[in-house]
Amino acid sequence: MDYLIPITILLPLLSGLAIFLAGYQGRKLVPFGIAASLATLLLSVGVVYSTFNGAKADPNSLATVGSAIEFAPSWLRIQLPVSIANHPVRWQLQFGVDGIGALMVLLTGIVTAAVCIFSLQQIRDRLHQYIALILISESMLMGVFMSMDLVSFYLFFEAVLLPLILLINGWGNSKEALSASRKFLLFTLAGSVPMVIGFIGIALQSASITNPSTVDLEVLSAMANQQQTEAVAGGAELVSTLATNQQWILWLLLLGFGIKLAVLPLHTWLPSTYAVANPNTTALIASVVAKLGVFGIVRIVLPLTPIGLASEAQILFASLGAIAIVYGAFVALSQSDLRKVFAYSSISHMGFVTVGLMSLNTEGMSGAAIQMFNHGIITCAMFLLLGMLEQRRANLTFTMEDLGMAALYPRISVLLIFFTLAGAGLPGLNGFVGELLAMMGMTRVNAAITAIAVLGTVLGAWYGLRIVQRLMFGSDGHSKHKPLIEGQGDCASLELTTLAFMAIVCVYIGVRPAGPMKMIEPDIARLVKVTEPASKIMHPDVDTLAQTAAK
Amino acid sequence: MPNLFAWVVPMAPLVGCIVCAVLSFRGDRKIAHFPAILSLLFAALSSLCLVFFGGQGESGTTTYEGYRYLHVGGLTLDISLKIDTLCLTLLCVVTCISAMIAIYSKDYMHDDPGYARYFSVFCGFVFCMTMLVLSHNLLMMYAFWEGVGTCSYLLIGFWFRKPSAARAATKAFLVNRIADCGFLFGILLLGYAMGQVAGQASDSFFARLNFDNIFTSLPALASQHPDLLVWISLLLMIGAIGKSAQFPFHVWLPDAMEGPTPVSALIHAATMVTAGVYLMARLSPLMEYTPWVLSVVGWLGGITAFIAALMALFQDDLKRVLAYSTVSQLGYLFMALSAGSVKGFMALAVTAAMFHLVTHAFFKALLFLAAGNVMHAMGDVIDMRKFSGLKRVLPKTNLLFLVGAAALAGIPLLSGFFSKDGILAVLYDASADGEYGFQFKVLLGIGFLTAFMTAVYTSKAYFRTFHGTERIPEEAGHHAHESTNVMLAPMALLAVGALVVGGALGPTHILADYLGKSPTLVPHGEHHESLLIMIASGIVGIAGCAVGFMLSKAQPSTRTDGAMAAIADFGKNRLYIDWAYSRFIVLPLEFLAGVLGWLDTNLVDAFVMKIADLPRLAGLLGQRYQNGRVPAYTFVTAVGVAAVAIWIVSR
Repeated sequence: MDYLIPITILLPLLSGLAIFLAGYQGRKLVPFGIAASLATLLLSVGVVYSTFNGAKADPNSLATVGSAIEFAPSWLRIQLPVSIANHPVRWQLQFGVDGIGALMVLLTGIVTAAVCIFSLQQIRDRLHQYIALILISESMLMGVFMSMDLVSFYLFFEAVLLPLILLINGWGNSKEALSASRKFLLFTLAGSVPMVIGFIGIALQSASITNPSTVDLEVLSAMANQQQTEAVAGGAELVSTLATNQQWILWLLLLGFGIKLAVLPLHTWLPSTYAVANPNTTALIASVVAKLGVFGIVRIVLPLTPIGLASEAQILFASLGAIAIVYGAFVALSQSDLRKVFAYSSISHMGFVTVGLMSLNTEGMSGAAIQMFNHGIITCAMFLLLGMLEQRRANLTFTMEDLGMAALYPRISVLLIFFTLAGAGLPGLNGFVGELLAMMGMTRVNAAITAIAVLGTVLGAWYGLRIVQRLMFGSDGHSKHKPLIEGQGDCASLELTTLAFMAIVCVYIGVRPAGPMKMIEPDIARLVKVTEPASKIMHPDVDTLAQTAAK
Repeated sequence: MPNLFAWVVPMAPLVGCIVCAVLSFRGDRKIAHFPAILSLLFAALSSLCLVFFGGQGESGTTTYEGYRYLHVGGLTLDISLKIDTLCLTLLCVVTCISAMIAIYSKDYMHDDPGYARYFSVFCGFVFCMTMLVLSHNLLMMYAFWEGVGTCSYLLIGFWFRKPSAARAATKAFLVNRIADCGFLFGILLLGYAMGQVAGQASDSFFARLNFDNIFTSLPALASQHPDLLVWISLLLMIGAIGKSAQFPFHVWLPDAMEGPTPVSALIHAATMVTAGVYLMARLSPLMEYTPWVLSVVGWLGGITAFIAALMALFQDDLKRVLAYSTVSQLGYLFMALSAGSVKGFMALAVTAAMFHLVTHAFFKALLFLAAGNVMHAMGDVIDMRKFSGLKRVLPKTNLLFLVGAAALAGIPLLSGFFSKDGILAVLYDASADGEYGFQFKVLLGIGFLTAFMTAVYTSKAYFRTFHGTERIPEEAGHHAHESTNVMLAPMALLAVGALVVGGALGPTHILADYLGKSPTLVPHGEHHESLLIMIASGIVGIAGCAVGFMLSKAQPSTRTDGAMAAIADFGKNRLYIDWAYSRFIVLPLEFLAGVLGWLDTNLVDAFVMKIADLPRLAGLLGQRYQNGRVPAYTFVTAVGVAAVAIWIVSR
């Protein structure tokens, strides 16, 4: 029983609500909100620390999901007035953190703190409400990353939307905010309805095999593992029956998570949302909320429906991911709105995560997991920088030439170049590790998909460096510069410190990835126990070379 | 002890880089040269110590352990240093020349506002380059391969206020990235294929990308997957020719001259661009299994050497002449490497290439620095049409440039003569081979032709710049003066190198024997010095210089006879290759981007949003019955009640 978990969820929630309840007096509570976000960051570091020192995975356990620290009080129990297969439904809710979850908790902590600090400069009106909403979203996100059962996962997953809609609408580009936020809401709801049906399906199926029904991910994953082992031992027919059983659930889940993941062609909510929301808000959405889909796949789809995933969706999603890398990069090149350039670049980068995830082997999934974190940090920094640039130059677009802002704002430009290079996968910075591992994993499954994904490294550099060249380089700055507000200087030292901290995180992971990798290693090792056999049994042609060598 | 030296070589520049970076943020600019030069001297001394103390160890190759970078599933990647004589040769060249150029830069860059930034990236480059050279693992090499590319990007765009510099930097990075993308894919495939070699545990797919492991598993790999191996070495070769600016990737190097001249001397002439040659030499055991790829390399090198020399003939910009000359000489190196496709020639080919690489680094760096002196004195004007007869204004530079130019032109008994002759001799020997003999006959012809053209454009550039009537452009003002001694001293050292290194290392077989200590480069057969080739190449060099002298007298603009004018037009416009790339590659891709962008909003999004309209359509169906008229509602209610009643009754 680790009380760090409920504190990490509740602290931002309560402080956010407190600012709201203070009403007009809440204006004075802005420093309190910032302090709360920083305290949550500390708590998330604490979560990472205790996860690192937490319970080690039992190698003989069947479960493919497990937590290093957990919080499951007996009063957190749902009793439904129905019974499934003649058993009353009692669902024990529980929270827990494993390595991947801890990484995402840390990401949430860092990103929220950064967004809160930047909002001091970026948000002109109703700042206290803005910070309160950010804190509430943080709490919901923390809840998702620490849920260890289907019900609380779903509740937090959906609850994130509420503060986000308010954030997009209240502080966005007022003209289009309404339609864009409606689009965002519709897309995500269209995803979550099938998702919840899938969840119910999982709960029902579990009840039919072992009584009573459960929503505990650990138990469910152990069950899926056992089913799969039995099916594999029983021969091809059993395997295909199991695959059919899992498949309808799988497609419902993938539809839900795929929309959040912005998988092609369900990605169009993303650019329109990013384009109207304040870049500060977008930093949170792009870096953490957009990872919810991937996280859901890691947490629920991979352990619970591995055979179903491997049978058809694996190659389909991997191809979609590889196409998204190239497609996103090309579309990014053609945009004139900088926010959309960044939005499509985000789609492109998330393609690497998809490709890695769908390789279903250790390298690829480790790469995807670490890339979730890396991309979160990088994309957050990029949107924060974009916010600063937009504040300093009216009507900034991608089609401008030779703006030369580097001469005026050297700090911002150094940071922008740094994060652009990190995003383009420069070795020694964090983006490289994840992309490399993802591509390695995919090489073992399907080299053709890797060949497409590799192109992303060129295209990513193309639009990234073009942004730098057009906005930062090319003139002395003064001649082409029409400042929005006179006398606004380079980025302030508070902002510089925040971004420099994020840059240090990038360099640390880039130079010594073994540290964070060690944290997610047991989780990946557990997952691989079901995913890799599933992939091998469904695609006997995987690792073609091994077979020709064996002959 | 060698362990310490081995780690000092890359770490000293890294420390220098960090210190200078801090200085550039703190604004204490004018002392930034001090940590930079000191750290580079440390690196140079350590690498010389490694040579003297035999850092390669008894067996010819030693790996110095570092730390574990990553261990995931089948991938184990350590950061460790592998030292053998091949890498020590390049290491000494890199560290010594970079130390010289750093000293030169102290005065060259003295009033630049980005003084500390310059030295920071400079040291960062040397760090990456030394790590690249010392890599024990292909993936580690790739990592620092990208690192040198990034430093090159930052230095080409050093004067970022110039639009041309900003564009050139982006272009250089992207062209390199295209090639690196092939390199990376090649590495992935190689790692994958190695994991599949029989007898290896199948759960460590990417563990054995260490060079030693690659070499040991090659025979098995070649017998099991010969086709795949060809693909792999082709992809790796693409990486190599990208970094070394070979056709079709040569377009970035001439543009890279937008950077500060010392940078051009170091990165874009002496060190970074030779990384491709180093990669090929490093992977020579792999390449031996795929002679077809080596033959492709030879053709590409031959084409590059020839077209670059042709373009150099018609350039008016002194630095660009030197840039094209670099491309052309790198083509020479690749021609030499391709001789490895003949059985048993690999060690000879690599030796010849490395020899020319070393001498070229000296005289080309010297030439660039001399061009830098000219630029410095002429107020940043480098167009040869605007100045001439500078021998009185810049007497020492004149002498130094003359030494470099003579070495480049292949005047007998200078460095360039010996090394170029070595390459021609290897090509001549290889042309006796049955399978690839024809290719090497052609390449030998290209080699001689290029040698002649090299002599022509070098002497033409020299005579145009330093002889004839004295003209000084207005930009120079009244202070057209010789450079300071701080700048001239390192050049003098380079000049000594350009004069004697060739004679000292080549005919005495010192370099060949030294490289032969490396286990992958044990020579198989005895190489014959062909006196015929030597005499021929000497004559070609001198004749070329004479032609160049005559050309420099002629007024270039007045000649308009048909064929010559067409060739001159072609040469001036870089054979229209850049134009063709932007027209037929960049433009269509941008068009494709536009099309995809349009489709994304007007097809994908519109389609998905149409689905969102379906509920509304369903609503429209029911809408007309919600008309608010009481009689209609009453009617429906009555029908409903009747229906329920009938259902109850009939049940």
